[in-house]
Amino acid sequence: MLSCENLLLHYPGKLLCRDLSLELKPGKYWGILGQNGSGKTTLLQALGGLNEPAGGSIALNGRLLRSYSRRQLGQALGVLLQEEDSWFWGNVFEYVLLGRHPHVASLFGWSARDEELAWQALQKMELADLAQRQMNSLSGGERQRARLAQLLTQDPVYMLLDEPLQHLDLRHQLQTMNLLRELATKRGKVVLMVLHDMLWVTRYCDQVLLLHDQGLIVSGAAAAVLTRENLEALYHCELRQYGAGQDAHFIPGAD
Amino acid sequence: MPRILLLAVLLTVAPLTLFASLLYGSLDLTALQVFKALLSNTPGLERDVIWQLRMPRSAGAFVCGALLALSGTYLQVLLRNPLADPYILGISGGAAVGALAAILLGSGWGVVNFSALLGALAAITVVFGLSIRAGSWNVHRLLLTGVVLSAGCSALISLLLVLAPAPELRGMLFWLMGDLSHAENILPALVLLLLLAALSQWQAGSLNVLSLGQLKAKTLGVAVWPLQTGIYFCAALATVCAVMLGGTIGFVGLIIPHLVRLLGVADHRWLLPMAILLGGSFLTAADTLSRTLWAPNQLPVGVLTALLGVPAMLLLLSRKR
Repeated sequence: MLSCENLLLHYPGKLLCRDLSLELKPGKYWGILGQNGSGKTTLLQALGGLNEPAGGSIALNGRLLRSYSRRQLGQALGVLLQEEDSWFWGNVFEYVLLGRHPHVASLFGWSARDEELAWQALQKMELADLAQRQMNSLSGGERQRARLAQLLTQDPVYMLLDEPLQHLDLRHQLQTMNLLRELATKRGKVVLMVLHDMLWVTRYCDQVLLLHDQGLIVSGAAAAVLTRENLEALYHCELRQYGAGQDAHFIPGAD
Repeated sequence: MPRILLLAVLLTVAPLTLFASLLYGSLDLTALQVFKALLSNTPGLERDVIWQLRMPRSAGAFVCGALLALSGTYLQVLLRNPLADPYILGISGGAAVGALAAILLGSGWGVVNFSALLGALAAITVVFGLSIRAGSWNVHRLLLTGVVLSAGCSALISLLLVLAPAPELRGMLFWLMGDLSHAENILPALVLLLLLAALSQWQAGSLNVLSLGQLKAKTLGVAVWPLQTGIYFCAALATVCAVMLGGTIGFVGLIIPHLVRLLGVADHRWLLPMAILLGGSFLTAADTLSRTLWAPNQLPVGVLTALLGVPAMLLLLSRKR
């Protein structure tokens, strides 16, 4: 289990998160919402072991994150970064295969199983036809799917995704959300994602974190947290609500 | 061309180039005579020429070229910049200042080499010390520090050249343009090359991941800080060793990694061994030409590497879509 206690996160001159205690249990689908610059990415990266928190602790299966080797972290925690250099020397298949790097045991390259996992991920992301294309010739959406395929190939228990739906068309957004939910419910993965579109959060996420100003964080079950009042306070704008529960829609504007 | 075939070609070309460099020189020898001299134990003129004159120089050229290509590849990954070459971080500049100062003072070759080593070590330390903040690498700062230090060294080099009396000036210019005629004791360089080749093969997968960026490499299980520090010092060592063998021979470290990439190989597990073989063969060939084209005079080998490398690179670039 990935957990944090009394987490304190700073950005130079700005408090992003204080006293956050969380337990990310297997099978759960988490959403993070917040304004621009509220610390969503910093929180995600801290939980992924990519940056050190200013205070508090983060533990994986009861052991502090920093006591693990980078390779062990790479096996357990996968982070889909919000931005990545588009330059890569190889084709799509080679790119996706690099997801196996934390697991690779041989000096002499990939095993048949590594390649099989990469193929499966490519097929799930509908990229099999583009496998031999150069990475830098892909469109934005195709590249995003390749990055998701690399994360699937990495096959970590904890999938921390920073805006996973960016550049994707509606059908691929739906497929990605369904695929991640299937991984959470059927394979016990933990999915934690930063999203801006409340539609997906209300429909898919079990648990939600709202990152307010001054490091205040509201967390809890989606049904309890995703209320019009909470979201208006979060985004500092008036919202109209249509429907309720998983079918709730929030649209900007006064009643 | 499939990678395995390309590797086979390079593995064939390397010994052929070395053999050709033993074959050509001021004393005319046939291939058979070279073979016999290589294999025989009986003393004789041919054996002396091959083993004492040509072999150290050819092997020195090969090792020097291989080290430069390796160093260039490392630095292009570390700095994530295709323009990086072994001399970009000011290491060769430091070495040149040391060497030229020693030549100016009329020192013997041993002192010149030692002084070059001191200059290079000083540059490595300064760049390293100024680029590291709180246990992390900032490659932009590293690049800028290196470029600024190189510029400072260039100014000092110009000053030393202006101050130098005419007899020393020629030796200094040859040192700057690259000169393999003093490559004698190549064993330490050869051992270093073999060690670095093994080390880089071991870390080649991590280099592939590092080329995606530092943060991304961390998410994929690469311990970025130790890897980058390792790359920096390996590149620095390879550069120092190459510079001490042959002065600042230009172009090899820049174009060899690109040539291999333009041939369609970018995966570092293949790129690194191919760069070593191609860099070694290329400099051996250039050195053979530099001492035979205008014999008995010698051309600076750095001029030959540029004259051979530029058209090859331009041709491949123009063919690439």
